[in-house]
Amino acid sequence: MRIARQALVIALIALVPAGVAAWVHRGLFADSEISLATAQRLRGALWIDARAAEDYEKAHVPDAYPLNEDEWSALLPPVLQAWAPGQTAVVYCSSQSCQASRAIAARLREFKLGPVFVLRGGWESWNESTAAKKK
Amino acid sequence: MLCPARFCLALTLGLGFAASLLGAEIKWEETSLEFHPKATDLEVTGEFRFKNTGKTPVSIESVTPECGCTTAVLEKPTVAPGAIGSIKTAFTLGQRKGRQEKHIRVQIAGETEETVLTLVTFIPEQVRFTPDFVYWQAGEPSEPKTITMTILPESGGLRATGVSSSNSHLKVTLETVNAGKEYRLVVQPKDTSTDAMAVLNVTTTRSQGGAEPKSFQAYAQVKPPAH
Amino acid sequence: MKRSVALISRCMLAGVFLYAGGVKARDPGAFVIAIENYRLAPHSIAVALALYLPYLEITSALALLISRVRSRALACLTLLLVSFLAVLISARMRGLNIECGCFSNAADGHSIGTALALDAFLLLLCGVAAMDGKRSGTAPR
Repeated sequence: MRIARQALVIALIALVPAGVAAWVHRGLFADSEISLATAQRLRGALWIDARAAEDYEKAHVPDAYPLNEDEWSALLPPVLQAWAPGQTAVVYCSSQSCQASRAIAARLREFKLGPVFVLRGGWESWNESTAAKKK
Repeated sequence: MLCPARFCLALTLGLGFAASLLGAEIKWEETSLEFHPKATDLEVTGEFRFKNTGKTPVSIESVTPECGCTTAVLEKPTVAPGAIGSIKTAFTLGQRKGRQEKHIRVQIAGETEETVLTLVTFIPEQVRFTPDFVYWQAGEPSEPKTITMTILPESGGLRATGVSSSNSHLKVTLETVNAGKEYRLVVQPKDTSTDAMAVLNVTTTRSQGGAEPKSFQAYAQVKPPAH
Repeated sequence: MKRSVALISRCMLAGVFLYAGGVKARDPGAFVIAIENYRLAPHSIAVALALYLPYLEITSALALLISRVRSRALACLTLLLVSFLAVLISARMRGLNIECGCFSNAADGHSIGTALALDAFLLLLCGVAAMDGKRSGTAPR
């Protein structure tokens, strides 16, 4: 009991920097946003493109599946078919309309197949990173 | 005494500067509209009105909705001083649910920043499946699994009339627990050695009239072996 | 001799936890993914843990180097390690084929087996560090 009480003091002190971190990373807390660097380190993630169909047709993350709320019923079955239980899904949209990726991510979490994250910076951040690597 | 040429130049610059201060002055009645459509509604429409409170005409250079699901029509591209202008909008609900936030960006001539107009729509859920998706791992016993379908009060009196599976490998039957309120979809694969995906389509009828009732989907799959 | 061994153990423990905590604090997104791989906590709890645990490790590691609060820090680290051990054993029993996530991201290359061995070793270090006979804050009789 004494040990637990002693450990509690340290645990409470740790809440202070943790609180600051929670504010700094509030995107992670509110919308499960992760950076491109984190997303690219994931092995075997399922990428979901939440943009409009015409944007997906022009260019998309390799092997990403399209899924948007305009065509939800038609586009969802291939996503469910590809999504292995426990597999992490990363949803992206264009940085201008990034509410779409959050809405899609929220609906995908209802299936409880695996963790679902939103890519911070959206398609633009991926595109810039790919362009920078080519140079 | 100031040279006449310099005086004219100073006057011109001064007047020009004063004119730029007058600039575009727009007062929006609302920059955010909230909608609570019924379950039977297919779209919501609204109008953003603004008044030109300045002394010079105001030109709207562009009106850009965030997505193809939202339309925005500008009544008049140029609004005279003291006149009222408007942008009529429509948001197609499609297969969305819950809280939706859509933006329309308006670029006014002479302004550096765009004005963002917001449509917030709370789309009621009509039917809830728990879970939405059932699956069997490869080799798992092909025991039946159940999806509970709950008809929500906002649905406007829906009743389930039947269910079909898009893949004959996964059979589904509809059981009534409480007509108009709760149903069960019992799903069973023939076997779990074959990878198979099915859309379970539930047809409905509406007891209170109104728009044509939608069909609702749940999903079932036999997953392929993990690799 | 006993005090030197205890001192070395404390330094090793502090170093390991400062490093582990620091790496995880830099990228909480990756740590959330590592926690969710264990399938023990819902998403919101995983995010809260990912934001809190690294700072608990760092605070405990720093406190271990201060003699007045050394015993509290050791208690904290021991409780942390016992909790990690339970989580790792649970993952092993459920047959999860995942990486530890002990040092930040989900692809840190440490299997469950390696993590169990490391955890056991760190617990041993805690025991050795606690061997130091001088109790902090206790007045001589």
